[in-house]
Amino acid sequence: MSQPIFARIDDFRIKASRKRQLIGLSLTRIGFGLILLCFYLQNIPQRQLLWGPDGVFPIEFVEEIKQWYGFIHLFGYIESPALFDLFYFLAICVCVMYVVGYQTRVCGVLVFVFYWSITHRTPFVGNGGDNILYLLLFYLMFCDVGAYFSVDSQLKRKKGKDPLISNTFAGVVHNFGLWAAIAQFMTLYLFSFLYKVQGEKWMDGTALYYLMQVDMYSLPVVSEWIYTQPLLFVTGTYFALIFQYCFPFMIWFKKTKWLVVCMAVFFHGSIGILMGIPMFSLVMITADLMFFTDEEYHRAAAILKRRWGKNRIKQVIEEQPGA
Amino acid sequence: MYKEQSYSKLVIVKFWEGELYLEQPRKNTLVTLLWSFLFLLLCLTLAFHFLMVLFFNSPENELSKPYKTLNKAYMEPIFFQDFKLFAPDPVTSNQTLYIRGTYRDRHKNGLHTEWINITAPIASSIQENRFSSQQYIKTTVTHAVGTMVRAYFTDKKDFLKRYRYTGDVRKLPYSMVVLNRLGSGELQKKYPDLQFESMDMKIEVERFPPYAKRHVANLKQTIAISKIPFANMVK
Repeated sequence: MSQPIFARIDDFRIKASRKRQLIGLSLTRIGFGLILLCFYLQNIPQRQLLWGPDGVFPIEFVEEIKQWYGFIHLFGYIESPALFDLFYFLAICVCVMYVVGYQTRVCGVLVFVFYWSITHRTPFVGNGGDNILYLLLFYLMFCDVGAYFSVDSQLKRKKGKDPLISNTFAGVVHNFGLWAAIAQFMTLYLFSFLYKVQGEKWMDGTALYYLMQVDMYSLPVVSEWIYTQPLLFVTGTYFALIFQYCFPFMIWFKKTKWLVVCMAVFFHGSIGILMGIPMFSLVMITADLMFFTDEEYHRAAAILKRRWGKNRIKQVIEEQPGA
Repeated sequence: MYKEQSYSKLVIVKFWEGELYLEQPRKNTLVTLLWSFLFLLLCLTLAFHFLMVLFFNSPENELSKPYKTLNKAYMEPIFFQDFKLFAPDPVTSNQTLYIRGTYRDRHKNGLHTEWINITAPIASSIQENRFSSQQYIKTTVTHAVGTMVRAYFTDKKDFLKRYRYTGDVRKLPYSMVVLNRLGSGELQKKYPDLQFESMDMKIEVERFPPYAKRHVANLKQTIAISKIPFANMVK
């Protein structure tokens, strides 16, 4: 209590500047980078049609949008198909660099700029997965997502520097970026739940009954089985509501964190497979990685190492002649 | 075990398995003051930002109404977000898009092609392969068609006025522009030798009955739009 106020602020500064969730954010970086790579590669055949200057939304219409906002995305200034292709493939190269963690800070900004630009190039093309992904990429620009599993961290070690140490200002900015990403993610679940509970079909348990009949969101045989069985579609509908309500609370407690993440993997995996929206599902599952602390990752790695270590020793013994 | 000890010069934090993570030693007064200022600034920025996020996502209320213009200016376009996600009500119908082209034969007679189903091949492709390259074509068609269907059932008179081609394609709603160009491309792919003058579009809306009336046939309605200018997508 007799400690001067300045010393207490200093203590707080040191605690608040320690970068959190470095492993989780590095894994999230790799996950998002791979999702984006998949996005760009998957759409190579359709790129000019969807986002090109002579595609479904010609460049002259983009001028109107420029007048509303006073500025426009990168692809709004591209009038040549060849130049569009150059930027498109440059975006792919930047994604690869982001995944491997080379020049991570710069690539983080470029990845956001390219992805935000392309998702805003043509109306009606984006979905909820694109929306949450570019928002999270924005916040991750302020985080150190290259501390682990990256070329940058390896290069730092070769120069004799520890990639985990940084100055106190970078640390606090990193933590605020992390908290903003988490808060945005919670916002998605909160409002998704709040809007659903206003809907009659969600409340009476028939939402899945209708969704599974829509050709664009169904899987043959499986969807028909679901929408003809009240036990399945009612349970599925209410599970969706309960999960979206519980996630923002259960994720904060150690005892329920793993359970709710397993529920998330099941829930979003089902959406991806049954409804054919894999992008959204993968983004939501990947984003869960940033909720685990570095201690939890180290603990999990130690458990796996012990188990794998035991199995490896057993395998080596069994492979010996005369074993 | 996780353990933190604080000394006057150095803070050592020990992780599981004894991994060491060294903190910076305490800095001088100026650094602490600057850091405190940065911390407060970040707190205020984050608080303001997420207040805007909450206002943007919430339905309009008495608290957010006075700040509507500021909210929109701040959030769009960089932080635009819409997390309704099949809410408040999910899609309750199949909405199938058909197009046909109008061309002239060598005797200058106006003829139509057959109706081409745009939606079915996309749906089949995605049902076979969840990572199909048709994913974003599907999103485009689904959203654009959905926008037109909602507009039609909200105010039919206004729909017929807004979606009628009056000589300037720039005055058409964006959903129509996008579907027009997509449809034109499909016509050119299927009939590369024909010179089209215009195209017609129809959307078949097939509503699903409630579960209690599931044995009743689906209700079908058609929204038709004729004489839309043809867009040459092959350059």
